[in-house]
Amino acid sequence: MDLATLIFWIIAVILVGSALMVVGLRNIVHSAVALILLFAMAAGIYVLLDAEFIAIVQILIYAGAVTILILFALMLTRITGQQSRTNPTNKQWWIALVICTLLGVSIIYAATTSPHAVATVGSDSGQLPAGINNVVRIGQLLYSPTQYSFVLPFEIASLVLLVAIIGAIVIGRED
Amino acid sequence: MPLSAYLIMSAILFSIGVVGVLIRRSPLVIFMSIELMLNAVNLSFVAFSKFLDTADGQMFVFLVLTVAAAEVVVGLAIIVSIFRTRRTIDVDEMNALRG
Amino acid sequence: MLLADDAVTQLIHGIISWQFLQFVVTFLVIFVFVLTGAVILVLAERKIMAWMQDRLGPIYTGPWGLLQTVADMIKLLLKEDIRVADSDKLLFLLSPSVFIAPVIAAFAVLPFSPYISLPGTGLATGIVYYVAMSSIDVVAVVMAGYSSNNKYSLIGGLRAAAQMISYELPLVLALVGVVMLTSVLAGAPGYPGHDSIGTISLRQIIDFQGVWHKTGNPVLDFIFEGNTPWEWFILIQPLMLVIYYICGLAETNRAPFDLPEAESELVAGYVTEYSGVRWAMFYLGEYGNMTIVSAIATILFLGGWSGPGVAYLTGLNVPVWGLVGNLLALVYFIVKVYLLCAVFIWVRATLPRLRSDQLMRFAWLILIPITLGNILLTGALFLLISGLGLPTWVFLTVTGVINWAALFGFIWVVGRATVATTRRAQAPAIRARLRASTTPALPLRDGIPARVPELP
Repeated sequence: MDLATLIFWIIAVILVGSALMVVGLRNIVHSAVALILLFAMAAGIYVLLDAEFIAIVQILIYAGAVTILILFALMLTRITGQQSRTNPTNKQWWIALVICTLLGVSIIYAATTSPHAVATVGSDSGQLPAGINNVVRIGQLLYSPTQYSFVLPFEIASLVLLVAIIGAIVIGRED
Repeated sequence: MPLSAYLIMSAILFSIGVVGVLIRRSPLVIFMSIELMLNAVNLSFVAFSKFLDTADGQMFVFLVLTVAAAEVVVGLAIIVSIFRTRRTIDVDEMNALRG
Repeated sequence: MLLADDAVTQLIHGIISWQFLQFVVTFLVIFVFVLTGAVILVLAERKIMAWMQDRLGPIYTGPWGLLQTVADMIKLLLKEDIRVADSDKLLFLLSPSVFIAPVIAAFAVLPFSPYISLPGTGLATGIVYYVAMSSIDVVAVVMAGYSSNNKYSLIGGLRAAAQMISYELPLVLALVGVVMLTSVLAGAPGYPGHDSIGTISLRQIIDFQGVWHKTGNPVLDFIFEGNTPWEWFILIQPLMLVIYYICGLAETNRAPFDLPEAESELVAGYVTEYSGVRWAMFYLGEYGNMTIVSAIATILFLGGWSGPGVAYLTGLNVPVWGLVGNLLALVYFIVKVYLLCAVFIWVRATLPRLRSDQLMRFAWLILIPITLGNILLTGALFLLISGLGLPTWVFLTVTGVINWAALFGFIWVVGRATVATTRRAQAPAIRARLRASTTPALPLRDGIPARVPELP
């Protein structure tokens, strides 16, 4: 067990713990804060997986923007003194638990027995050429017009964002 | 760490997210659980991209991030507008198709 | 437990290694720099504002009032830590730490001098890392606003969050212009990097602004090696520096963007219920943020640590001169940073607070279109000029000229917009006054005036 493994286990425990807190806590604001913790820990896992740019973007977008939006909606829709008394879960919670346990077990079974997943390739030998780091690699994959890249999906994603912005303005407008 | 460790963790997170979507009554927590599931998927994408030694998985994470942001923006706008008309956002009370 | 032992030995080896010692020393230096920097900045702010407003400022504690902020710090540390009844205890206690942690984390990527810096300066994602760290502050502000169980705090927190999120966009977009310039310059003779691969690492951006081909003349080499003010990006993109700086003002909630803490409306906004150490942590974070914004502006636009003698002395490969060169670099860097911080104070002493309607409009209708337009313009100009086969310096000159012209256009637009929005806001009152002056004197009934017509 080396240092990276130790860090992985620490992060994994906090990650799962904060996920349970997101789902289980009664106070929604506390859930949102646990969600921020979860995003930060996921960013830690990304760093362990050599995806530092994704890790930073994860913090920027999820912890810095998405959670803030959720907190905003929470403040806007708050009715004081009502939420704390009602039951936060619905009546079929035990059926949901059974189904989700089955789901989780089957995914884990698939992940551990599938020949694609068990063959831990881990080649990791592909040393990047000099001057090409993770950021440059991602930039080339995202934008390069000449080589193999994701230019078209990227443009479509920007269109999706534009549509979402306009849709949100139309829906949220007070009229 | 072997790839299966990341995959198992991702599976656990995904199942917890599904539990949250199914049992909670507040749509905001349901939203957070959906984000949790998306993050679980992102985790396995990045793990695969590391172990297959290609950055394509990270591209998919980018697209997922974009879609998640779009989804949050539209969804929260809908929640706020529902709250404006009905003064409650409990999903168990949203049983009418009319506004 | 062989496996665990292995991890422990690795940990111990990691801890007593030379890199770790370097890390600890640099971290402590930076931490102390943040703390003392805040103390010095508070004193400087009070003294400079006093000077601008023709007052004396603090004069009693110590010679010329120099110890005033030290005394204030001691007072704050000894003060009772008040916790509001019915507040959300956990979040209330947590939010000052969440506020200050990313501020200190952001210092990790700042290169102070060629050698005095944390390992994080090698991070390839420098600019994005800084932006991500500054975006976490918003979480702490919302947490503080919510947990204080106080309407003023809640409104202040939400205002701050909305403002910080809106101004983050033009802040990032303004920095993109510089990154595009680095990708144009990369690979040119003397410049670092490969052909048309730019950089977002802060350390490398400094190198892009100090390219000097050795002449052999020791005096010229001493002065200009690594210190070429005509290559600083402020000359090519001055408008982006101004916009970045404005967004930095808004990000740090400083005047004239201090609506979240507007005393006349919200008491003190999200810090209303905080006292003692926790209040001090919020203010420490704010001044730390101010330093970071200035430092990033220095690195991206003003050449970072570059100054006469730095690169020459460190390039001699003599330990003593290398140390002198590093200290010189540190001095240049800190002088530049504090000059920019002084601009923060100058702005605060000069400008009145914005109204909330002006705040959002300014970000969404003026800043974001201008920064987007700058990105488009820079790209289009590069395509045009490289398509014509002209050299890079033509592109840089044309971009610079257009940007300087746009800077004056921007100032004119902002002036017009301020006047127009103020007129529109004051219009009802002006109309009412006009109507009042044209209406005849009120008829008297039994010696007292009849009902006054209601103002709209």
